[in-house]
Parts: sequence; structure tokens; C-alpha cells
Amino acid sequence: MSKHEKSKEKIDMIKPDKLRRGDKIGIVSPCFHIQTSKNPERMDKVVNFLEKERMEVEFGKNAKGRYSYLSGTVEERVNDIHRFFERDDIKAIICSIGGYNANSLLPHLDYDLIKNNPKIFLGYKDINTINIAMNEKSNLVTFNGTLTGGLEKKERVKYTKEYFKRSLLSEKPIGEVKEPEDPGKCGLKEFIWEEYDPYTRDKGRLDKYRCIRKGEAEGVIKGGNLISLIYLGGTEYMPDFEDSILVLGEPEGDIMALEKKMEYLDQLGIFEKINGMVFGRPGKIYLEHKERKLKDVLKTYGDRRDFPILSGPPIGSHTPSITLPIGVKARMNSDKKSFSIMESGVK
Amino acid sequence: MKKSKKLEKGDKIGLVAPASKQASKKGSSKTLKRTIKFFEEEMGLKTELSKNFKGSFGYLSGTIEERVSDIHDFFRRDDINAISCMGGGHNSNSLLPHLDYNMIRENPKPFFGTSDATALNMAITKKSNIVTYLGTQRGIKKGRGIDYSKKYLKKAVFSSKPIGKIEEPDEIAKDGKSVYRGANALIWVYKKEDPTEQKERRYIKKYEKIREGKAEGVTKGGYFDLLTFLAGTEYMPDFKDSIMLLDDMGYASSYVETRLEKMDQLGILEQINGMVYARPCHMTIRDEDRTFRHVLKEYADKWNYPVLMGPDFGHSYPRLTMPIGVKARLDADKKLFKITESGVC
Repeated sequence: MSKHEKSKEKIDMIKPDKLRRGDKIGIVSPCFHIQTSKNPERMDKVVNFLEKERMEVEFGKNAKGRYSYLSGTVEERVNDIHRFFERDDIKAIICSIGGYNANSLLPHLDYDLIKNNPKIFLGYKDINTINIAMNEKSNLVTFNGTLTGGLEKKERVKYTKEYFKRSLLSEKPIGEVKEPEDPGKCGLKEFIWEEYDPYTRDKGRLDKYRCIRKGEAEGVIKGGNLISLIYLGGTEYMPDFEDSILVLGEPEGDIMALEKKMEYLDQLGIFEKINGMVFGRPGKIYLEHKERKLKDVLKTYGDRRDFPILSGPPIGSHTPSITLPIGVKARMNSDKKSFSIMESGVK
Repeated sequence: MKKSKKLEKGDKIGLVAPASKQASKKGSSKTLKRTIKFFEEEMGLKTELSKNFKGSFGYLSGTIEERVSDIHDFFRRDDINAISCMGGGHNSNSLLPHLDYNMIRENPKPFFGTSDATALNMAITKKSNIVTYLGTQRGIKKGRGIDYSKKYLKKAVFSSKPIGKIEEPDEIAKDGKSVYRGANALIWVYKKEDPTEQKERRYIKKYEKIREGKAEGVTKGGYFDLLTFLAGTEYMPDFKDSIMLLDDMGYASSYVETRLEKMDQLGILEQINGMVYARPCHMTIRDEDRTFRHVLKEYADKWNYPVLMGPDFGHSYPRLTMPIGVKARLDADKKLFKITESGVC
């Protein structure tokens, strides 16, 4: 049996219905509260966008709640998600903002309820722990993408909106993930670390598509936010990566810490199983090193376990970003700098 | 648990750099000088730097092979009696699949690590079944309670008697200043709903009871962030009936919560008998309604174990030398933490 035949057997993903005009969307806050003083109108922008697309919006009971840095207790946050999955008039669930502590909800989610009432579930950053767990436990295709982040800056929203519509409003395959013309502020290599001269600003950017290691691969999209995978590692919510294309969204931090994370994923046996890796456009890389760059680190693991690596596709919370379905088939060709999603995540 | 021989004056301690580059980092030669001076003048030990100690491979001190061979070399050599990691940094975990745990078991020696290097401590204690020690004396300064560090290093590896009760260090050093300054035992507390983001410096100066209760168990653990990177691998310590030691630095309550939740999902918090949380350094409290103290207590209440905060086996100075893999007793109400077994013979 070839690798791909085996994966066909396994995949029995449930696709939610696509969004239609007039549908009602539920908004939940599974991590932090949205009573932020920094950007009070960001939720209004999301609501405006959805209403312009002629959709109705309803906030979960607790979506605007606050419990210290969180939006509510574990029970309150879980209840909001469950109530929306139960209701027939709610067609999609969108998470307001990320934060931390989405993983606290995982043992309390009713995965059967979710499986029996499949709906679009969209979230970004830390919410990805929920996306991945739902995909693993309920076999539901979930979506990693941004609305709050993606709709703030006018000049870059076109790309974000286009992929939001392609992913959620149409049952046609999403197709090629094009390189955005304006990659936004992210992907900026902030500093280069040099001996005795630690913080020299460097203008080098990491936001272009780059072939890190040559090759072609096909597989099911697994993964999401890199940090979310770290927090899931070793738990029952960590997916099986057999025959997958591992997508790592929004990697950021120090180059050293990124190497530590890559080593961890390797020690969990993930790199041995995957067919290819799409390393999303990085957020800020605070420390790069002249002699050992991010691409060197990634290539080490690609060489060790023999898989192609493409870096650059815009995945995560920065603008612009795509709406990435987790659990559908994709194809990559790093020589041609191509990443193509061969299915739709909705039906 | 296999025990190593206790140290004597005149023994030799080998210094290794298992992760980040030590050679030309700002100030590292001063730091190294102070460390060597401490071991030689204060402890009466000879010192030797490993072959690749001053090596350079990007931001690392060497390739995986070079770093591993340094550690192996020191464990093999009869004239090296103890091994101490120099700094932490990142990427000690890359070495774990390449260490020869059988050879290390055949040549047990006190091994000291802090921060990132505790990956090595935890893996060696687990796979080689020998006692290792949390607490390097990197760049130790006079006036930062050096006597306290000395006293507990002596108790830990220069004597085959158990360390016994861990006493709190004197808050005021010999030079009349508080030992807690700089990033040492510092927490930043942000004022709630303050758009100007004003923050206040506070120091954690005393041991604190986080949750009441008594416990006995074997000490296990290390740098909390590192535990996140061992979970699910074969190097993760077995926490059944343990007293879990956690050292945290530079995080906010929400991070503490995320990682504790992960430990809970792995079934670890259910298994442990008690927890000792080292004096945290450079933590951030965004909201006093829910600090890391609340988060720690919440999980302790869920699984009913005592938690004591304070003993300095983490990033704070003065620093304990804390054995992992030995029996200990904890009484959080009395703020008592007692090591009842020696790691050396």
C-alpha cells in the first residue's frame, strides 16, 4: 500500500456547510477578553464587514465578558461554544481574538456534539489549539484565519477578504495560495544578533516565498499556529501527522527558540511522518544570527527526515493572511514556490 | 537511583557549554572568571573547560556532535569528578537523542544545570537513573549571598548526609544591600486598566505558602518552560509520587496557566504529591485578580497537593544546589522543605 492510499482510508473529514447570504454567525471569545483599551473598535469592523456581506452577527453570552485576563471561566467559555454548535440557526462560529489559555477548554469540549452539528469554526493564534483538537477529535474541517487582525488595515484587507471568501463562501477548491503583493509589516527581521553588538537593526525581510528544501509533496493539511502545536505536544489532542503537509503558522521569537521548537517536534516523531512542510511567513524574528539563519535550521530537519520545505505563505494573525482549512488535501512544490489547496473546506 | 561519590577538596570540576555560545558573548569572560574563581577559591576545586567550551557554531557553542562529545568526555574521564553546565540559553534539548545514557550510568558524577540545561538534568536522571543537581553557580558575585550558595553546594555534594531543611537566605547581603535586585526575584505588576501601562517593581522576598498540606516524594523537575519541550518524549521525567520542582522566569500568569494545563492534560498534576515553585524571576502580573499564585492554587485545589513557593533552585541568587531524584518532605503551612536523602555516597 502506498503512503497516499493509506491516507485515503483514514480521512473521513466532515466539511461544514458554506456560508450564504443571510446566514447568522456566532461570535465567541475562548481566550482573552475583548475589552481592550488599545483597539476598542476592532470588533465593530468585523461586524461591519460581515453585515456588508449580508450576514447576521450574534455575540455569545460571554463573548464580551471579562474574568481577569480571560473572557470568562472555563465553563462560561465552553458553554458559549456549545450553545452555538447546538443551535440550528447559527451557521458559523468565529472567534473574536486570540490570547492564551484556549487549551484549558479542550478537556471540556463535547466533541460528539460538535461532530453531529458541523459548522464553520474560525479562529487564530492560540485558538488553534481548539481548531486542531476539533479536527482531531470531531474530524471537522476547521479554519485558521483572522478577521480582527485582517480587517484593520485597509490597504491589505483585499487579499485577506479574498481568501476568506474563497475558503468559506464557495465549495470550489481554494487553489493556489498566491504570494501577496504587499506582505504587510510582518515577516520583518527585527534585529541581527552580533557579538558585542547585539541589536543592530536589519532590513532583511523573511516575507517572500522561499524554497528552503527542494521537492514536491501531497498530503492533508495539519497543524496551525506553531505555539499551539507546542502546547498540544504529548497530549491526546495532538493530531496524527501521517501523510500530512505540516503547516506552521506565524512562527516568531528568537531563532534559538525556534530551533528548540523544531527539535521538539522532531523528538515527537512528527517530522518522520510528514510529506512536506509549509513554514508560514514569520511574525517578528527578534534575533537572527549571521552564521546560522532560520533557513539553515529548517534545512537541517528537512535533510534529516527528507521532506520539502516552502517558507512564506501568509498564515496567521497578521495582515494579509489566508483562511486556512485544516484537514483538507494540499499540494506543494517548493522549487516552483507553489502551495495549492486542492479541496474546499466547506460543502 | 545510582549515586556518585561525594566531592573532596582538590577534586576537579569540568565546565561545559551545552547550548548557547559562551565564547564571545558580551561579558562572558568576566562571568567565566567569576565562576572559576568561585569553584577554585571558595570551594577548593580544580577546574577545566571542555574542548568546545569556547567554540562557536552560529549562536551555539558547537555542533550537536561537538557538544555531546564534551559531555561524554567528561563523564568518561576518571580525573573529572563533577560536571557543571555554564550557561543556559536554548537548544540543550537537541543533545538528548545523542547522549550515551548507559555510559553515563556507569560513570556517575554530580551534574549541575540551570535553565535550558535542565533538559540534560531531567533526561540524565530519567534515562541513566542517577541523581543530578539543579543549580549552576554561573558568574556568582560576592555580596549576593555567596555564603548561602556555598553552604548548600557543600551540603549537597561534599557530604553524604542528606541536605536536610532548606533555610531561607538572608535578605540583606554582607554589603548591606538587598540580595534581591535587578531581575532577581522581580515581578512587574501592571496597574489595572491603565492606558499609560504603568508598572510597579516588586520582589518576592520570602517563602510563600500557595496551598496548604504535607507531602513526601522524590524530587523531579527543572525549568518549567523546558518541561513543555520534554512532554510526550521519552526524556520526560516520571512524576508519579514526586515532589515536582518548577522554576519559572520571565512569564505572565497566562503562560503559567497554559503550561500547567498542558501538564494537567498529560496526567502529571494528578500523579504528584506536592509542588515546590522556585522563587520566580522577572515575572509579569497584568491583573492582580488572577496572578500566577491564583493559577497555581487553582490546579493544586483540583488535585489536592501542597505548594510552596520560594526555594532558590531556579534563576534567583543566592542559589541552592538542589538534587533531583532524591526523597524529600514538604509542609507548606510551616514553609518547610526538607531533603531527606543524599545524592552522593
